[in-house]
Amino acid sequence: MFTSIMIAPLSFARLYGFMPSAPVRFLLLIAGTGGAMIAPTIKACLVRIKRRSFDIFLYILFPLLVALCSFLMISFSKGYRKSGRVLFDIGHGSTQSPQLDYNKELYKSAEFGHAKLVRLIARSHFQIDYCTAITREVLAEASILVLIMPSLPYEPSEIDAIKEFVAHGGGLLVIGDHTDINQVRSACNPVIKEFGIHMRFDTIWIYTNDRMNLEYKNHPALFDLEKVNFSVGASLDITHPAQAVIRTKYGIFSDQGDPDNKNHGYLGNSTLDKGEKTHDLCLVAESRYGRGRVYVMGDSSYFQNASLYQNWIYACRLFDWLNHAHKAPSGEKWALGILLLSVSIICAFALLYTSWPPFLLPLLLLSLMGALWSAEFSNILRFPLPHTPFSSILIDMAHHNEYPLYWINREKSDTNIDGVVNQIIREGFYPVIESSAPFTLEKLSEHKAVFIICPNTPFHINEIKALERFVEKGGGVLLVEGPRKWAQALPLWGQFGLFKDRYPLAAHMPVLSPLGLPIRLPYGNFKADFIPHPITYGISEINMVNPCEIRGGHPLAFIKNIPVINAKEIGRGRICAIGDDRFFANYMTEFEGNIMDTNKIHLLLNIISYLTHKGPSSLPSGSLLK
Amino acid sequence: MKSGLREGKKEIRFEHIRLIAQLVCIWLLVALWWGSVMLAPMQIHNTQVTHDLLFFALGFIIFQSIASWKKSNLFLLLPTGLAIGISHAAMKSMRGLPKAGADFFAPQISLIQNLFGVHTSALSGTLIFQGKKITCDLMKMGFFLFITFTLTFLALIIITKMAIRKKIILILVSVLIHYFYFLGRFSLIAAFTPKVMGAGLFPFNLFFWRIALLTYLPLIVLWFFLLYECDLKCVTPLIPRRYKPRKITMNEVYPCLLFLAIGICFALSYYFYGFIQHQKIHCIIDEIHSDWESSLIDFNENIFGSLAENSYHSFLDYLRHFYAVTILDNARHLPPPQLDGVKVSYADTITSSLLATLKNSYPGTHPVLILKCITTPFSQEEISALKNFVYEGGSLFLIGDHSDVFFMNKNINELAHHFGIRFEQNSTYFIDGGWIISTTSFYRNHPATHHLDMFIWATGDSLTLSPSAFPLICSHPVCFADEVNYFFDNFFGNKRVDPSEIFGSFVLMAGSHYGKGKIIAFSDSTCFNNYLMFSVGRRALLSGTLSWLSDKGHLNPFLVCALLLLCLVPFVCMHKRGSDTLTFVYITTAALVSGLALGYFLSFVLNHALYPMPHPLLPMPPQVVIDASHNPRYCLSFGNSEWFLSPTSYDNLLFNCGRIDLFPRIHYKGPLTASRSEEKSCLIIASPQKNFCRKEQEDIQLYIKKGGALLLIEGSHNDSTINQIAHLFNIHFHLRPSSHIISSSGVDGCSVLYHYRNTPIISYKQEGKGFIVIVSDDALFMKKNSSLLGKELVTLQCSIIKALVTHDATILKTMNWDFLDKFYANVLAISPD
Repeated sequence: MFTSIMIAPLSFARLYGFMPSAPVRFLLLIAGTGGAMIAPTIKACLVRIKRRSFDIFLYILFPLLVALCSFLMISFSKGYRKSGRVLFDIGHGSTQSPQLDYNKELYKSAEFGHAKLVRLIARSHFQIDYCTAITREVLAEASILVLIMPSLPYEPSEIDAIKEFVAHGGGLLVIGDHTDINQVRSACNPVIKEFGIHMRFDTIWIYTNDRMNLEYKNHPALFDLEKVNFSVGASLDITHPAQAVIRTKYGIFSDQGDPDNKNHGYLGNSTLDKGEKTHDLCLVAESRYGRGRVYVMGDSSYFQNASLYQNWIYACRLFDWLNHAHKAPSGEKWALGILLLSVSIICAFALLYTSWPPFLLPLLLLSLMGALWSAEFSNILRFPLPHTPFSSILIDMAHHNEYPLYWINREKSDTNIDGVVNQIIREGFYPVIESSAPFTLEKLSEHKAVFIICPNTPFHINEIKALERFVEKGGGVLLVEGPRKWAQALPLWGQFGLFKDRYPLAAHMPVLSPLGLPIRLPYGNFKADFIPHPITYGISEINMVNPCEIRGGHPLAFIKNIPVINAKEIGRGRICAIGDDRFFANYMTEFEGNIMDTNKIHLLLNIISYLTHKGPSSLPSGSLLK
Repeated sequence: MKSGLREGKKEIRFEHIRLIAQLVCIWLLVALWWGSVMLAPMQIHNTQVTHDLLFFALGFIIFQSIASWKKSNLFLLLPTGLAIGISHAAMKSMRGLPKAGADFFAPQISLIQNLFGVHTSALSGTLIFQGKKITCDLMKMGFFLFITFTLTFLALIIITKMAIRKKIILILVSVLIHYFYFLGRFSLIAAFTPKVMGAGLFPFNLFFWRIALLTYLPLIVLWFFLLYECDLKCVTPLIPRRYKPRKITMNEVYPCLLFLAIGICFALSYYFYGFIQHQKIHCIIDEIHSDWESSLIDFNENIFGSLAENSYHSFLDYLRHFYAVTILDNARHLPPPQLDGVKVSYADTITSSLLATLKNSYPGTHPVLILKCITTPFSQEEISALKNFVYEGGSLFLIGDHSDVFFMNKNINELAHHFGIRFEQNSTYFIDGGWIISTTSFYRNHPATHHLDMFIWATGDSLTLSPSAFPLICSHPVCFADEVNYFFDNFFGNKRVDPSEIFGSFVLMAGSHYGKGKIIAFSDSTCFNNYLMFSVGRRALLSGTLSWLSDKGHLNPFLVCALLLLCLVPFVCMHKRGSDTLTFVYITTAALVSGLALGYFLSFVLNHALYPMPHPLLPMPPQVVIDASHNPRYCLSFGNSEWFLSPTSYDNLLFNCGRIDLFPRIHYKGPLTASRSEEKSCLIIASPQKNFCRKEQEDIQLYIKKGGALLLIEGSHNDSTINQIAHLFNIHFHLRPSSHIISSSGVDGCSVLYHYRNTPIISYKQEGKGFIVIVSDDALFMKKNSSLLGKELVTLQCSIIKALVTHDATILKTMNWDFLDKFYANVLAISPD
């Protein structure tokens, strides 16, 4: 029973996301087991004490203590705020430089750069600086030092300077990547080993970022986030005082890198070999050194230009956390915690002797829940969700949309619509992926436009009304749908006076058998004629995959004189409707970093500009087609 | 004292073991029933099911022995039987409604999944989550297993000795728990279901068999827990006291007779089709709206390619022998067929006046308009004319096909939906991916299916019916409907099992009434093309459907009689029954059951007497019978789609008989005796593996003696039983494996027509008045050799059949066999030896 009492709060806290290190868990287990062994002796001692009022005291004290312990464990200490000066290192050959932007100049912009991150934190009232060499003087003014994918080794003097910087309360963020790609691991490890962290020469292939597969530490940067999105990175070895922040559960393995496979970033064989670790792989770690805070990420995809939109809250919170130094000396919280825990353990022993009244267990649970709730509330108050920092465009994923994004489903990435997201980012907007319905006018009003692409569940009448009001007030709506069985947005289309045919347009031009019978409908490679319009400005051709007829509004593009892309203005807002469910599929726009159809991308940029009232795309088509 | 206590404890423990054994027995009995439901004719999954059933049966015997140890517990199987009976009836009543209940269950499962943090929506009976779509149809959810297990447990509680209050509480609690278990179980299965599965054993096991059954295994623990909680250490049934009925008095004879009559009338009202007035039929085939599977294309030894298979010549040829036939054409396509009894009427559209003219062209006949493969849509005027035609008493036979091929279903639906029928845009298959094969248990008790036994489909669509229509043929429940994909050839779907596709029993043929007229919708046009026209069930289906469409009346007065007799029951019971109530109940129940049985028998007799097969108007061509009843090594146009379409199939033998205007018939069931095959002109026996009984041998010998014709085909297979027939005529197949010709056996005792390297391949023998042709290479007629032999194979097969039906050996003697020399040379050249 004593063991249960010891383990139960731990399990509860663990469910909540609290992640003590292995030694702590081991100690608790020992304490539990040892406690169970000495319990009879303590019980025998307690038998001698005659008490009635003491029992009642225990009934109140015990839940209170447990609640206090839980509260202390879960609530965060913010620390001392620093100046907010962020220093980015650009002198060690970063391949994903914070100066690389992602924009409409297709062949100059970098999906993997971090300029969007710089802009995001700049808007969060941080001051940005760049340095080429790390010296004590350079670091003296800084609050946070950021090392993104350095590929050149740091000098010992630089490492000493960093250590000193952190010890005096500086924040250090190190972003690495899998194996030793671009010698990032070789460059980073000498720096981070001082803080108990070491990047392994491996790759973690992870196909979903759901919490089901991962353990998240109860950390100020991500305590209330549904999930953090990342791709393929390295795992980290950690020793005291470092702690894991994100760790894998069972089933995900560490694929050892191949030193001979330089051309493919030293990637391993992607199969589980003997000796490869299959659980508890640390992906992100934090450490403390003196009064400073260190944060190391084993993958560079968290805050890249093209993926920052999924993790921007995480980024804001992380920089806020790094911008605070630990209070010195630390440990009051732990001392208090241990004291309370000890008293509660004594209470537990005392309770072993008494007969438990029926209300004790509910009281215990209630107090525990209250503690958890108040801790969370206190955390939320002190770490509020930042506001969307840019003009944003909402992408509907709340209606089980047919074509998801890479971060939601990686199985069929060729038909996903990451190309749409990329162009929104290029155009300077911020994509907000909305995965929870219903849409309200309040929610919609935060965004410039809403993209509704092939929803599989219908819109509620209130959502339709909200969207109508949103458009009337000046919002833009992009409707994309094809001749699919599961097309569910038709009532919404109807509300805007638009109609989509349920049969493919290809039915008008089937592939005929020798008898002249339609044996199959053609698919892909439909070239549409189009008329001049801000949406079609600078486009030389429009390719469609599975078009269908659209009626209502102003037709812009036609196949065999049947309209397939229409635009409409309602009130102050604008709507663009496209009758082709695969129109923005990755393989038709942008796939794995390659531009598949420059016209399609230009068209999409024009649509974004049109719907958000930005006017025609400022770039001449020549710059896109170079 | 201590030993007594120990004994008591031991006894309690043993009671627990007995109870668990009993519960396992009940589970196994349900599994045995479910296995028998899963068995479908000639399907791949049968092997697995029968294999598992064997173990279940063994397990049942073992556990029943444990449960009955020192204390008979057999009576407890009664509730299971009762529950199985109810579930079976429920399952039968849900045939043709595969999506029933999906809208009800999906939101509940969605709620459960959302509670567990899986963002799920329910739409039109389909769960949508994590990029997956899973339709919550009854088969996928294992609904019938759920109700069987639940009812079993409820029945177990009902027949058990227990306080009423406790009983009611236990029933309510168990219903609730079972229902939550059912929903939770499917939530879990849905979570693990892949987005797409290959057709085969995986989806079968997941939704129908092994996994489906195993996921109900924890119910045993639940049952034990519930019974244990109720302090029911061992289920003790309420066995009614033994009663010995006394002698029946004269007073009780009249009630007995009344109940007997009620039983007979009720059985007749259900099983008897009714008294009718048969009418002559005038079939009108619409070719104006059909550019596919035309009845105008000739079919002979010189027609090859897709049009040879995919035309309705054999269908037309068969129909004209029984009915007056008119073809409606718009004179765009082909010359009229030169067939007696077939008229061609030319028009551009179907109008009311045209239909009236056609109706009057054969006075005294009933017009049945056959609308098949509608590739050209009807105009609104045509639809109105056709509706009026039916409303005024005309009949329609609508034939669609799979997956809206050539937009046929879309076109025909414009008309069919007025009659409450919709051809769906899908293709129906067994879960193994094979063609559907239906048997009598899936037919409605109806004149249209009266003569029908087995029917092999060739990928049709499913039909959705509104209440005005009724199903006539449904598929086996282990089927799925593959959704159309307009971008694949012939609009077929991906031929894989998507969880969003519906599983269950689909309507394949349906009927409807509209005004004075009748409509039958049939979902697979391929069944009546030249390739499959003479496969099993076609003739019976055509005669039944056309007969029902044309018949007048269908007067069945027996329901009224039964109800009238039922009104007399209170009077008779009040005045005539004796003092002993229980005896009265026994004898009246016995009388009622006997009446029902007698009524069923009478219905059978009446139906056979009043609904005979149609008599031909024109002399029928010689009958060719292909024997598929002796387990032939290769598919003789009888089997599942895998056998049918395999390279070793003999399907073209059946098909080529149509080229020479013969109507071959497949004998697949029962002994090949004279009584069953007396009309035959030619019998084909190929590679039999099952023994011929003495009666069969005698009848075949007699048949040849009287002038019959026989084609024997065999290769080099030691286990063949062909010699049991061959020896009757002093012919002997050597059946030894030959090294130089693939699958050829030597043959003695007949005149050789063609031999290759001294091995006789084709021989013949005149036996009395009879004529026998022997082909001693069983690979010669196989589908795989069609490409090597080409047109020559057609000529060879047609010549042999012609020679057999005419007893004219000169047809074969005058043949030039050079093509076979080339063929064997080629075979040897490409063979690995």
